[in-house]
Amino acid sequence: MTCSVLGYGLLPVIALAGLSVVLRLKTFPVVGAVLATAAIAWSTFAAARLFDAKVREKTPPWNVGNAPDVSLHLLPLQLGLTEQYWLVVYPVVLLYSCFVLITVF
Amino acid sequence: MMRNHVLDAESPQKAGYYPNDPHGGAPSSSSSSSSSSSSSSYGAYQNPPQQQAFEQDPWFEQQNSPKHSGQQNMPAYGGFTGPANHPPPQSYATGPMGYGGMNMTMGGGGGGGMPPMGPLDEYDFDNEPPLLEELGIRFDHIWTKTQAVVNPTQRLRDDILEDADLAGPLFFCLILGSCLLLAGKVHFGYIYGFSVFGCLGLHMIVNLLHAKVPSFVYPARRVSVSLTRVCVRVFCVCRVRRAWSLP
Repeated sequence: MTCSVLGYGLLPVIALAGLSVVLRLKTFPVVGAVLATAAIAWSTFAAARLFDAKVREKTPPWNVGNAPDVSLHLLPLQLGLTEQYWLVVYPVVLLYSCFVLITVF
Repeated sequence: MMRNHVLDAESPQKAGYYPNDPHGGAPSSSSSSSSSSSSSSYGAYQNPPQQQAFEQDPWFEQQNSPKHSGQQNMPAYGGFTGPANHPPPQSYATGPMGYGGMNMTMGGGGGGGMPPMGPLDEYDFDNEPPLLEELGIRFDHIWTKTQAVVNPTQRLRDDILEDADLAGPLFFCLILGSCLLLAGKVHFGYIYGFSVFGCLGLHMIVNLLHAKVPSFVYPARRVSVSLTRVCVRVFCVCRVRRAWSLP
């Protein structure tokens, strides 16, 4: 399940890699940095969203309703991870930034 | 397994016994099958459009939706005259015989029906499932999950969520590796290593956050607590013996 979610979240990084075939991203540092950050953010939020929905599936219903903070999330989440959302997001950011680093450099 | 479904289709009140369809089929199908075996009620059965191609397939039905396999397999196996693996879905609903006729045929002693996964002498090699479906690689699920990732504003559907395949991620990793190869960088080993350790780490994190999944932390903690107690007790006994100069 984790492999599936992380692999599907790799798609924006693949788009960045496809772009880096035709455009040498090291030579345009500003554009490269912006595109790399965008790819990291996009894939991270996609993967975190999938994780969130999966966890929501696994959580028993008596553990769900402890006042989720909807205003914290920018995207339509299903709120399985409530307080732990950013705790899951952080290692996902690190992982995808590794992929983006080997793509750019 | 197939025999039971044939029996289920024979007794229509048992066919409505399964409470909910796991694949989001029409809720009217269970009620219609429980009422009677009329062809018009089966003609009203409708699927979501992308699942329709799979639910026509005998292997997929046998794996995933055991309720419908007894009913929808009937025309394919009851009246097969050739390797009709994927007939168009309209032919079931509006065919000349319809579901009711086929159901009567199967109910009357098995007719010409043949179970797809029977013993070897009954095995039908013409109607074997294709290799990709046998491996669990379904391209429309991969494409739907890809759309769900790329477009983060649409709501995720449940049947996509519960299908965690590994074919799509492997495919994407190969695409990433080949893109980097085209850019002049050979990084297949890096991609493999990052993927493996990232998956392990995130699996551990998610499972530790939600301890409903049995994890290795609690037995380890219990063992460590008991070991600490034993050590403290031995230490205290030794100190007391030394202080009171006991043997």
